[in-house]
Amino acid sequence: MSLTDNDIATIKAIWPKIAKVANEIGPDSLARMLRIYPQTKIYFSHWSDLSIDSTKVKEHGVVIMKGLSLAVEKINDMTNGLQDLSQKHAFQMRVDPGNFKLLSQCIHVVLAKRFKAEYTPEVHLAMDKFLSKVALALAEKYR
Amino acid sequence: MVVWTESELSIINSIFDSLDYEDIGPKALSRCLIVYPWTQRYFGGFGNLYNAAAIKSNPNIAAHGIKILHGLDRAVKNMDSIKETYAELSTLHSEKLHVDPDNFTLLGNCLTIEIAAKLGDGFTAETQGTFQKFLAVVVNALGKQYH
Repeated sequence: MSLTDNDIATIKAIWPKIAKVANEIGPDSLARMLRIYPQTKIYFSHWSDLSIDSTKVKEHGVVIMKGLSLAVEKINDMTNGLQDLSQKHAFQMRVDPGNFKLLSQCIHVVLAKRFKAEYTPEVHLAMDKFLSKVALALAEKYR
Repeated sequence: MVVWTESELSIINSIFDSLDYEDIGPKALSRCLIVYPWTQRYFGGFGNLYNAAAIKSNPNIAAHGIKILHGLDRAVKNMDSIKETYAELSTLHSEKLHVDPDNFTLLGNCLTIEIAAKLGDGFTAETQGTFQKFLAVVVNALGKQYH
């Protein structure tokens, strides 16, 4: 599954709007994932508070969005562009790659609730392909 | 057996009370066919699915989306016996339609997103969590008769 020119154009068109509210989207998505898929809490067991009000969750949600902005920047070569993040996820954090899909679903929900009718199936499709490619790039160094 | 708290029951009923099945059903199903195009294989006899525009305006898809919502409504009206309520539907999906059960989750994801778009900030993390629990129970019940 590769990103078509149309997919890239769609992502680049909506991303500035998403980046403007990244500080809202990121923490909300992460907090939802932790609540709805409790198995993901294992990666954050060093934080005592995993609620939406947690400072750590809020900060990390913003970090995730910065990573996604980097992925948009490097959209034509994510494998190389996200090498450092891939190393981190593979060797330091050892995140089961199945979890990327769970966070992606939460990101879609938060984007849909924020952008409503603007989050058309076509935009959703481009975003889902983009997030899948990010997940693949992040899992690049796994084995 | 699935245990529902009063709060969860209230949330599920409140969500479905707020939905116009004739609107959200078609939207959820067409979103699924557009975002996960391999699901189109189950709708070979439904007419033109050539592109997103065709899918969105296809009356057979719209009718089927409404049917699906009414199917979910049966679960909402029988929260303590979803498995039994869906026994026949499960057999239909496995023996006749041969739907890969992973696709139930994909449709569920699309329905969740349509509801999020409708409810906006009202679709809190707690609401989403409860709704996804409901969908997980539904998906499990639909898959029960597969083997």
